[in-house]
Amino acid sequence: MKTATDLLLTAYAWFCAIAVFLATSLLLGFLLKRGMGVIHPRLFFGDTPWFPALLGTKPVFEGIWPALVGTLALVLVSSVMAIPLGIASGIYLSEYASARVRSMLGFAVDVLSGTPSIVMGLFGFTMILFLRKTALPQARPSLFLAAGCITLLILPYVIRTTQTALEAIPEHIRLLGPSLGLTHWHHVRHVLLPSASRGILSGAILAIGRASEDTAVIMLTGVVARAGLPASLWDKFEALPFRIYTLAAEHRSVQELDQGFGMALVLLLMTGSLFAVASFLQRSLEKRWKTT
Amino acid sequence: MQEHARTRIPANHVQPVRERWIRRSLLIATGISAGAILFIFVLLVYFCLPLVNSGGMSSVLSWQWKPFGGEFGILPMCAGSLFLSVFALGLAFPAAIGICGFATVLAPRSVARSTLVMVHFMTSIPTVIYGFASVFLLVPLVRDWFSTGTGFSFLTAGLSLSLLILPTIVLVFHARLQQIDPALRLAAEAMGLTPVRQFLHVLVPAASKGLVVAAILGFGRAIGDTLISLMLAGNAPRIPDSLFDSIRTLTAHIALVLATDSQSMSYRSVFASGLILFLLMGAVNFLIRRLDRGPGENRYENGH
Amino acid sequence: MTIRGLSVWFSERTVLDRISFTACPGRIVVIVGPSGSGKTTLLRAVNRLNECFPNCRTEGSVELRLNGRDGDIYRDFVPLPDLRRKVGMVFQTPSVLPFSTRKNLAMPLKVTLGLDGARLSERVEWALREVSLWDEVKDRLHADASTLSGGQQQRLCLARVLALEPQILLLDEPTASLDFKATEKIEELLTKLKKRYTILAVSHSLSQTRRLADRVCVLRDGRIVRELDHQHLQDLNEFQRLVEDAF
Repeated sequence: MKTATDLLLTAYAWFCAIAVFLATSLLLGFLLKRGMGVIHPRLFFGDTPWFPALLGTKPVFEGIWPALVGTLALVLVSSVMAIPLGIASGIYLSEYASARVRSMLGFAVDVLSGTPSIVMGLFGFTMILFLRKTALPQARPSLFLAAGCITLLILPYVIRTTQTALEAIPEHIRLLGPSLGLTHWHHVRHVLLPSASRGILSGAILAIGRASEDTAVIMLTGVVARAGLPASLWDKFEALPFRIYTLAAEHRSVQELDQGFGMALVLLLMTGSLFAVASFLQRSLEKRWKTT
Repeated sequence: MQEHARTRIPANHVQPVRERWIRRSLLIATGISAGAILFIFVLLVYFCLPLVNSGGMSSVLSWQWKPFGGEFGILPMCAGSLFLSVFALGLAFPAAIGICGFATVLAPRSVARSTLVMVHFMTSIPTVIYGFASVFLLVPLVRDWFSTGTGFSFLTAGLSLSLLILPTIVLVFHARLQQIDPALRLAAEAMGLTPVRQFLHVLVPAASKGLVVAAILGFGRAIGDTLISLMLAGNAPRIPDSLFDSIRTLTAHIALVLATDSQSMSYRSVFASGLILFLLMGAVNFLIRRLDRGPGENRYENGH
Repeated sequence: MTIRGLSVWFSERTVLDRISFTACPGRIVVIVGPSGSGKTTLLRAVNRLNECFPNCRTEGSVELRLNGRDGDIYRDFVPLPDLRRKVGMVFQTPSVLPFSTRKNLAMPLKVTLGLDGARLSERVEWALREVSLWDEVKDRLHADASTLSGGQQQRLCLARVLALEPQILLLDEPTASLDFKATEKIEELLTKLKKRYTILAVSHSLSQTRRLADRVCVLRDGRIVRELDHQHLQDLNEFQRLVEDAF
């Protein structure tokens, strides 16, 4: 028997869901509307023809191509560092560590994951100061430094998902390796890792997504508004999220603003599709274990 | 009930050399990951030390921030961070419970599932996008509707921030709700309770710890966020008098000072801010771990 | 196989209490008993899989004849990985890995025995023929093993074990998750295989026990309360009575 309170609360719940749905759709719709018209090779390359721009032979002034390349380079370098390290740590924590070690190191990893990104950027900044005082007086903000800090930022994602994916493996598969006479490492490598592969992969993809969207870390470790294509690992660079931020704060023309919307849309598409792939993998993994 | 099977190398079994090397290298990898956090902490403290030594602490822990007037107090920023996060939590938390109730008992299954997919998707939206869209959507709205100031205010940032942390709270609490023993849900149904009552009087209490964890995680996310307050809150280093005042958070402070100022004392205030944030998040984590390990929490979870 | 005074504890809880019995090739021994009586633990004691679980303590001896030598496996007369190859186990749920059918079989052969090339393919084919799976899968060896039916997957797991050339087979409710037809096929297989291997099986189904067993051990609360021989199994009613008695 429904009372007035019941109805009120039901209405409230519906209201919450609808409100959030509207807010999100408004946000996305707005971006889509303003950004859609701008998606065009001109957005990326400005007045420079696209082929030489791709090869890097001609500089791009009015387009977002340098920022896009900067982001991609950043993501690549940090992923190459973070993913193997994270998977190895996840394997160790799940399969080799004793309960005490697991708890201690797990806490450290948790604290790492809770560190605000700006503090991570601050850490990078202080690294430069520290290096300048000690080993490397010419230390300066660079793509490599930013990538290193991003590595630390995304490391916990990879470690945690690897650990979870391994721990989700049901008992009869876990016993399979030893029952066939495999040594511990062979068991991890040929039985556990293949079984957890989808979860691990989805964690890696999530980490990549996080690396591509971060702004706070790179703000303090080497990103600038205008730098062209990153010439080397030790130079300053441009990145999409940072460009978006600066354009929101100060844009000099409607054209630049439109560029901002275009960039926002591109970034959203990037993170959105990475997310879709990761959640697809995660769900197919869950389905797999449910049917056994 | 047997514990989760971990394949251990029996004590009397001779490990081939290769096994030992693999074990060692994995340990090193994990050590690097865990050591990083220690290193960060040490570095922050190291750079804060001059503050303590030169008596600059009292200067930094004051209420006035006027760098060119020699005052480097970061307390207004602490207050800013705290108030903003509490406000965002205050908006997001009830809404999150509403959505969880909606998805768990009230909505038809397909609607519930799409809602969760949407919330899940929201977690993938970059913060800078929330900020960017809010600058051009929310700021004019606040400015025109309330006809005060520039639109860059505590309120604007708070609204945007609450939208940012909402998915975190929903997903964490929802996961806990899913872990409740289905038998309990059936029992609630059998008692003849309406869905709303089931949710409020049976499900929520059973997952009460999850509620606290979700709130803490949401709060942590709010405190740690930089871009939303940087882009939307106005960045005035004062304690707010009203919702429409401009404020500055610790996170935005770090970004602003390092991007502009060049006085060394300003730098010191930044390290102090960083350390405060770091310790705060450490405490948050510790709290959550404590809660997760508490006794009796598993009573309602699957398998018992 | 001779088991003498075998006791197993998990964290101070006694799961098996001074178990003793013998088994030999040519006879299938089926272990039955109520839930929690320690049947699976007994099985796992023979390939020392209990040690994979935390806080396990084992006392007593399990003597096997492996490679022509006799010895107590708990005194390490063979290295553990070798032991587990000689004593093969099949689990209740088909534990098929996310590879092709062929790779599921080939992986342990390659990794533990170092087989390769032609010898590997020979062994794979031989094992699949042994479980009557060859004709069914020979055209889709490279398809993912999850596309096989439950019964086929379980036979694949059996083939995987046989490929390692064991001497003893441990079967933990091998047909529990299978339908009637698949169960029939596997029971036929086991009856054929018993001549060459010592088979120790756990079963939840009394009718299956009657069909397969040459000897039955009834376990309750970690102890053997009854051992039944072939003649007891002839008459259905007497069998049921004896077993229910023991339960």
